[in-house]
Amino acid sequence: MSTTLTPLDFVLLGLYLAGTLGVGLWIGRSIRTGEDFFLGGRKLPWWAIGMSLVATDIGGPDIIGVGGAAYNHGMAVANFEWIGCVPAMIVGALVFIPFFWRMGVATIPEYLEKRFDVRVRTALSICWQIFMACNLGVMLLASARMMSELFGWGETTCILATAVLVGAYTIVGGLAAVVYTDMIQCTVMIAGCLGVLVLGLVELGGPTAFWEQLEPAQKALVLPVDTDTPFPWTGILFGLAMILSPAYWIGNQAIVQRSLGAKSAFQAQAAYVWGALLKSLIPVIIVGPGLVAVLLYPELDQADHAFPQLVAGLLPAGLRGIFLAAFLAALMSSVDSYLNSASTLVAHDIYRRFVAPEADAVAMLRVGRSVTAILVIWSIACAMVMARLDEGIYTIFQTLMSFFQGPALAVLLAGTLWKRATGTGALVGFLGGLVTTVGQFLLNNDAVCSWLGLRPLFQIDEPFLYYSIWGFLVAGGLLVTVSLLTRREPDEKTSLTVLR
Amino acid sequence: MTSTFLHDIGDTIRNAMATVPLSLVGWAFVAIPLVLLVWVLTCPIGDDDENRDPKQVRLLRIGAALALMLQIVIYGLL
Repeated sequence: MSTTLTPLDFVLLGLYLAGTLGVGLWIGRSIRTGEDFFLGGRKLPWWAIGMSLVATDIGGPDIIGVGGAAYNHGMAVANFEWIGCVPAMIVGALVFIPFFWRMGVATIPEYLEKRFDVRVRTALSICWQIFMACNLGVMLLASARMMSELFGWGETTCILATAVLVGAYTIVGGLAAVVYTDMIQCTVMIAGCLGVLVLGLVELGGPTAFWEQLEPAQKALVLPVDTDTPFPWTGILFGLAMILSPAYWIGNQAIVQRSLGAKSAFQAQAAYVWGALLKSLIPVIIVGPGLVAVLLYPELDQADHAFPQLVAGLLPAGLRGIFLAAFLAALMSSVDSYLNSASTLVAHDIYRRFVAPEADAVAMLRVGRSVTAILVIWSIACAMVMARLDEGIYTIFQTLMSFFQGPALAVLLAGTLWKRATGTGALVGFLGGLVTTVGQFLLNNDAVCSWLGLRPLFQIDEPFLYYSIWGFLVAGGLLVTVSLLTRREPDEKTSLTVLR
Repeated sequence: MTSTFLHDIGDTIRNAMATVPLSLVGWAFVAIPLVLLVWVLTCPIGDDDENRDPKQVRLLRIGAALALMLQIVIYGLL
């Protein structure tokens, strides 16, 4: 399904891309040290960080994928933006974010070394680095496929163009460039998607007519345990709201890093609260169009065509360019954030920790930029290799995060809230949780199950939410048991690293 | 296709969860932001920060309360 673009669309698109690149490069002029590069010199304002949080969270494939999920499964997918975000963001804002900000750390694993030891820091940092490195390739490829399908451009061209464009301003401007361009991207993304929604509602006769035409099942947010969708209430409540969401908003380096670059603890907190308010709006603009498409185009062969079909069917020339800019904005804001955060983890948790502990601020800036450049090349190569691989392998990479998010949350919560938690307990808990989630994934895999003669462990298709619950529970249980069996950490270590 | 004790544990939990009325679950989705709202309005904010401006604390509380009230309305209505 290819959408025809007019010269006006290309002009608008070109203006948007040139503006974003210009802002990113202009910010790069004032970057002098590693702290400027990794944390924006700790001068970032709350309003920019809040919008960056939202833009980072919503990727290009999310716009298409969430619209498609709404087309297939109805409103329930909105839980990911509402109960799956807002409560964790508020708790993060009032409890954890100011605590991490005052610790003066650059990465979450750095905090874990202060609280536990270098083993815990390294284990978590390496997991994040592997995930981010793979995810960069996944994001580039997924977006390139969408762009290729939407606009008829070559897949390789899309991968290269996106990587070079995002890489240029991220290498030059670091976190500050990422945050300020994200702000522009968040605005464009909301405007573009809102435009699609409004035109769709007009076509259906207004919001009331739209709502009345939907089936009750399409309006339901809470679905039964035996639903044939991936969103049973048990997974949403226990897996998403209680595990994955707090792990994401409190422990994901790509998310937390921008609040560590805030001007003050208050600004870091305000950014999260502002982000939570914006998050309440997001389902309206990305789930809403999926539901509009159900009514306007009920016979689509693929749910992921819902958003592109609306663009092709409703938007006049010029507005299509704005939607494409919105799509690219969502894509770029996620890729730039993961690039910057992955380079921060490598530079702080590997280079400065093990290779050059005396590295000065200028050396750290050089390392940050070099690692970002290497990651750009890596992500291009990774995306191109994955493009030739089996779809199943591509899907496996997307499940990586659900493998270690539960165990990582258990370690982070125990570290910040429980003085008796020890380094050995945290390490054993984290590794045990990882083994559990990977084991569950294998026991749910069709090939493994048929080889072992077992029925799959879970009854829903994509049980990622359940992996995180069990990973968290096993990691937490092991962490508590081993901590109680090992010598407690000295008071001078826990007095400053545990919340009071 | 055979089962293991892990399958049995999963089946037991799934069957138990299936007996919980969906209307009760719906209230749980409202109760979570409601409980958080009460906490936001009463919890100490920035007590350990000597430089904290009371106006900033008030703004944070209002913003956080507003975000949670939106959630209560959304899950209460839908």
